[in-house]
Amino acid sequence: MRVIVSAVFLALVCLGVIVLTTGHDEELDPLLYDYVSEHFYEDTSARNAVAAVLLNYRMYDTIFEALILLTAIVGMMQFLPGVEGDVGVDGEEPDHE
Amino acid sequence: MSKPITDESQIISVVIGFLYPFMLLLGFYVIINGHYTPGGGFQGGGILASVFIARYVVHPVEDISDTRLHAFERLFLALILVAPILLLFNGLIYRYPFLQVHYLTLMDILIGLQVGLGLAVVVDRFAFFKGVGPSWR
Amino acid sequence: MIEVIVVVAMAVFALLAIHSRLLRNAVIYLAIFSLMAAFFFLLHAAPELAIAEAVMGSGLVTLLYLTALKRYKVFTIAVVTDFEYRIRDDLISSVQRSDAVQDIRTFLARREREAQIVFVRENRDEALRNPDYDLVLAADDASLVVYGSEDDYLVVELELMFRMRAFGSGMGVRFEWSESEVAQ
Repeated sequence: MRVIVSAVFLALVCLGVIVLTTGHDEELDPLLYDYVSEHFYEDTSARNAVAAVLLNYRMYDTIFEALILLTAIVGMMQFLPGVEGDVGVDGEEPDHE
Repeated sequence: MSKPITDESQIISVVIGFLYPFMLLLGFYVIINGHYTPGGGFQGGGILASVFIARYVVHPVEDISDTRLHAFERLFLALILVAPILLLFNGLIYRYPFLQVHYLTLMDILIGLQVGLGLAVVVDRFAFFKGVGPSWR
Repeated sequence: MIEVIVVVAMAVFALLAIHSRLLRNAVIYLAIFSLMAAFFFLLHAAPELAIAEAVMGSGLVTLLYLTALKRYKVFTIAVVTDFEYRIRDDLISSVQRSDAVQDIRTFLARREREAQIVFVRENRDEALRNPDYDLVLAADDASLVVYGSEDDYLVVELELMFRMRAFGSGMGVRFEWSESEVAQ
């Protein structure tokens, strides 16, 4: 029963995705898209528009992404104990004999 | 009494040992060409971290200190903060346009190393998790 | 057209990953699922996302799950056949499909152990002396005889389960305690 219900649900989701994605012309906001896709090379001299956006136009976004990764790792190191003497986030050296 | 299934599997260790340099090469290629081809710091960092996990799968010995990797990761995060402040936000790379490509490559390398070291720390901690210890609250 | 095929295959692999009985198979299905997702991103002209999905979902997460499964306890069951010189396929399939082995498998799966059944050529005493085997099954043509050590609490629970079930239906499973050789 559970298998049938989940199969029907997934089939409906698939149908929705297919209907939504095929034969649909995306209408983006033309201003920013056109500006970035035309001027990114002379602005940032990157050949790749995604790299231009990530590393130049939206640099704050990238900085805070890196900060989020660091925050997750600090929390993980706080709550998962390592081997003895290897505990703590202060960067103190573990003492291996 | 029960022992793990993959105890020193010869096939896996030989094949992954053969694949190490290619994985490292692919990771650094994706990182350094991030401003030119699809890819970039995050993707290349993931590839570099998978080298660490492959190393654990082959040879599960804890000889790399987590805290030292974590210290290097924080150093790279500090550099990620410092480099745009010095180069991008005060408009230095617009005054000297030859710096722009070098800035992009530098940021890709820094982000790639930070992400790779961070994911390697995560994997190391989870792989060598010994149970509830003294730092558990 | 190829989008439709990819989406349907993604749904199929997601269902397989949810409903597969062995965790190892589920991890592999999940890896195939994220490879399909990466191909789907590539079809929609997003190569950066495709690389990220292939690296993270298909490489890193799969390896992480496999390292987690490496810590999953494996319970090795050795099947000895005294009278057979060669291990035939029909013997293997009849042992694998028998009700008692299925019961042992579900019993171990409920206690987060994975049953690994090996057919060994050693005779019974050698198998009992081998410390790698947690349980030794002697496959007869009529019944199964299970040898285990009394120190292993899982084996004691298993014996208790079979003894309680034997009140209802007479199953051809007999337990015998091996001597302390098995427990080192």
